[in-house]
Amino acid sequence: MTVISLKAIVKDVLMQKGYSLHWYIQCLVYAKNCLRELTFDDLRVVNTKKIPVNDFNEFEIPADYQDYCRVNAICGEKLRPLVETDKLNKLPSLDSDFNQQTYSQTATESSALFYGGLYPFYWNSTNWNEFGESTGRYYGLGAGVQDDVFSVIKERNVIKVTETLSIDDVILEYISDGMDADSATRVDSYAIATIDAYINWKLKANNRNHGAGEVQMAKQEYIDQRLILRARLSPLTMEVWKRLFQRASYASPKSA
Amino acid sequence: MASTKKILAEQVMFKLEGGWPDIAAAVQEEDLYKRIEQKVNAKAKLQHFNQTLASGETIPDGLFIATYDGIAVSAYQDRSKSTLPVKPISLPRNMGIFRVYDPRYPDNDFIPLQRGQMALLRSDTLLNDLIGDIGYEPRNEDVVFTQDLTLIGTSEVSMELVVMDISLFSVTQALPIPADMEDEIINELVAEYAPVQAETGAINKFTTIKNNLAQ
Repeated sequence: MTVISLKAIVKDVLMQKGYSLHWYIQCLVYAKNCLRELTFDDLRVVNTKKIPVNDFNEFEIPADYQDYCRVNAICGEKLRPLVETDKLNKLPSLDSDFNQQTYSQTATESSALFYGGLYPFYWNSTNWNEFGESTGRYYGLGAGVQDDVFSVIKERNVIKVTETLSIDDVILEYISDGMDADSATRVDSYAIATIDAYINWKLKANNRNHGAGEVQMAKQEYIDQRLILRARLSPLTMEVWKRLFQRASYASPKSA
Repeated sequence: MASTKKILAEQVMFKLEGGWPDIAAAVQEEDLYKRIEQKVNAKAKLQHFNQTLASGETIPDGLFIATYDGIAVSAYQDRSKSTLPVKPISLPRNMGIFRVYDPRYPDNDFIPLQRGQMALLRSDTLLNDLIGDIGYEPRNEDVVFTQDLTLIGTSEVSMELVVMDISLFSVTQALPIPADMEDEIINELVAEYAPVQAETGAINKFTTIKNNLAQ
């Protein structure tokens, strides 16, 4: 994959239009805004970081974080994705000195209703026959207690992993907003024409010398280029389509 | 205050005549005006400037880009600045200051910013340092750079400024030339015109011609 810097794209636009460097900063601002939008949807700039969690199983969200793809626990060479939940308390637990502590150290105020408290009474059920074989019928068990959960707490700019999970680090895969020097200097070459069209559109839109029709045509050109960019970056090939269908196909006994 | 053609011519006349110039002096002020224009054009390395702006505006005819080298850079708060050698023509987007660059790297121009633009860019996470480039903002008679250039070994910059064609300046209009250039022009003109002597009392041009032909 060849990459190009945002500055090179902007200077190329200036050369095409015969503008001097006095237009550079304005075009650079347009290019930066376009890059941000493309990063959200099309360019798929997914950053992966290994982040240590603190004593409260929390870690700070990276500065360029836009949205997460996966929050993983490390299992050797493999990753175990955690599941987002809204049942973790977003507020920190504080001791009498207003220092944060874990919730396991916090005295519970109510013991009437807590997770795992309403235990189904299995002791009055018989699940084996006269031969000692299990007959099943564990109806209503459900999925059990799920301790592989996390919660994104935007108010405190942290991601909290459930305290019942004992981990030191997480692998966070997240969508970046593209507003860092690395992203600006490594733009996918497929996006050159799209950014080019965006700059042209915005130059006309912010200039009184161009009519509404002209601006609209420039906007449509940008939209067309964006569709082309998506088609270029689409990972779906015929082989992938076949594999998707094949994976969903299972042999099953034919009823008589 | 910048000098005019008339002031320069008068100074040359004073030196040539050793005092107040006589009305019958061999060299008159009008003789010097054209020569001053030629000197300025040669020294300022003027190039014709003709451009239609992207927004459709046109630049008035008769403009030139003058190159000024050796403009000193001085530290200014946490940045640096240079003083404009002359006041350029006022154009949209400050195009009157056409180029500013480190003469060691003439292909790496500093980025021109409009007045107050840097303050707006400071809040942008990506562009607050212009992605590593150096910019400049005009501020009255100075250009203020976005970094302290003296820390990176740049003590002088070159500037290309848009000025009017010297011949379009009237004799009483301030010329866009720096003070050191004025001094050079005066001294060169004095040296050039010093040999010019007034006619003697003998009025016999034909005799002079005949003698010259005979030789």
